[in-house]
Amino acid sequence: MILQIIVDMVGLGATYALLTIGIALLFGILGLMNFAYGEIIMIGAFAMYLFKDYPWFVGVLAAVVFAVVVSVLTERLAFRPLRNADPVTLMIASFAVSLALQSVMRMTVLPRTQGVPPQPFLTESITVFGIRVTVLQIVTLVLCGVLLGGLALLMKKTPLGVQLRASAENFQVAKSLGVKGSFVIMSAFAIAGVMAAASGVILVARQGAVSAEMGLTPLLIGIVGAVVGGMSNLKGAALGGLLLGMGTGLLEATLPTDLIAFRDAFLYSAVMVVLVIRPQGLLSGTKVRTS
Amino acid sequence: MTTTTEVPQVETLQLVDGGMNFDGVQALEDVSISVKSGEVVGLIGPNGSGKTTTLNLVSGMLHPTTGRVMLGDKDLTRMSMRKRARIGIVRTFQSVRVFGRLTVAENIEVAALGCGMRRHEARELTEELLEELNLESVANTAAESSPAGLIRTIGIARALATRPKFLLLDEPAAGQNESEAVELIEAIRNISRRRACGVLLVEHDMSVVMSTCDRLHVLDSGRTVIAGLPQDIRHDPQVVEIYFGKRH
Repeated sequence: MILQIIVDMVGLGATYALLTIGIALLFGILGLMNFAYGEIIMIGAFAMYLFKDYPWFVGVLAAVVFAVVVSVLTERLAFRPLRNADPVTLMIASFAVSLALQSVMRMTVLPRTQGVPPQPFLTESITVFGIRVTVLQIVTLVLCGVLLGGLALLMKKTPLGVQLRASAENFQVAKSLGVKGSFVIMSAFAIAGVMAAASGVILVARQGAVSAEMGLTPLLIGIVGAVVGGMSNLKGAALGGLLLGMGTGLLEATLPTDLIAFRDAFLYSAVMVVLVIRPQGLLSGTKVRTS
Repeated sequence: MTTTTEVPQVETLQLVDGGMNFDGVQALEDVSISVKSGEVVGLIGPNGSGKTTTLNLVSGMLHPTTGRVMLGDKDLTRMSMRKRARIGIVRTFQSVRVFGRLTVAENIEVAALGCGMRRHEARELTEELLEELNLESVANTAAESSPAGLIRTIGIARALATRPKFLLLDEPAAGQNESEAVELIEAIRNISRRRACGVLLVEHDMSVVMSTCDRLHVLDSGRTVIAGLPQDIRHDPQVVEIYFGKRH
């Protein structure tokens, strides 16, 4: 029983960690609080709907392509012209991008919620030592593990990663040393696109449906998780997402039925307590980016 | 490798009649200063005299309201700081601004990568610079945990990793103790000689400037007071009054 709860908690935690990383990546490098991130997830999910009659991996591939392209396009069209703008301006611009993407999708290809029948193999489950694990849970864990591990490796070991981390710390100094800021930023948006696509794929499999508004909840989870863990620190953000997901899972499993409806009230009260004690986030240093 | 040894061309980087006006405040007026390859030029003057503004104009961090920045006969006046870094004009910052969460080695490597080097080239150059500037022992520690004096050295190593033709140093000796400053002087002179690199040195510490520079340029209230050889300037009554007079 306890093991079963833990397995469910970790699955949800990993899903949430993916969400927070996407948010924290762009915040760390650009100081951009990207409210359009939820819509990138929605675009990825929409690709899954579009290719629902094809083999699963075709849909996944399409989700990655769609999400990356749209993510990079938002940078080129909306955020690049505002490169030196105030963080608040950027944030409001991201609101606009979010609403625009949502409205365009609703007006054109996704006017109402569309069902995406779950892939049969994802709903199968195996039982090990009395614990029931669905294939979806395993896929989620593997996907999150591979993506988070891959991102860590990329940041730590590759030339792009070093330049990304340097730009995240001080964009202007990085540029003064010749680092191609525009390329670095575009890469960050592309990586965020991949993360969003993965989240979209998992969400579609969990909910079995896509809609133009589906990005809002994951966006909020991503932001809260990233704030709890420390916005400017990828490790912290991942931890924040993991804890938030595990907290949700724990409450879901342990709250009496009458109180389940208030799950989020309990969860976010806990978040507030954490933020009162550590306003800078769990793993963040004391430095808060101001420029 | 190439069969003919390339003789490094002597180039001149100059600010011609540079002026800078910040919202009606004339921070700099008609200042002309030049640095040749292999030469160390010191830029001195009291606080607020326009030293850092001059450096900002030459590095491209600011664009002058009047005057031009030239490399040889090429006009760089409107070129961005990043593009200037790529053609070999690189600066350090007064408050060094190392990338604190990167290791010391990564701080250097990122500059080499930034200027278009391949990964293994960047790694090799990083190793060389770590050795040359005695940073090997701290190579793999986070830069933010280094003492202040060392951080300045990291800033210089980082600038050197771009293989600069001209290095613009903003108060590199500030916050260093005497032995560190002496080491730094050595390093700066070696850099200039070995790499045939021109150095523009903004500095407060007169002893550093006197023993390091080939030529000096004295600013006061945004204007040139005098420019010439260190030994001549040391005894110039005007300089003694505005500079030494204030300090001693």
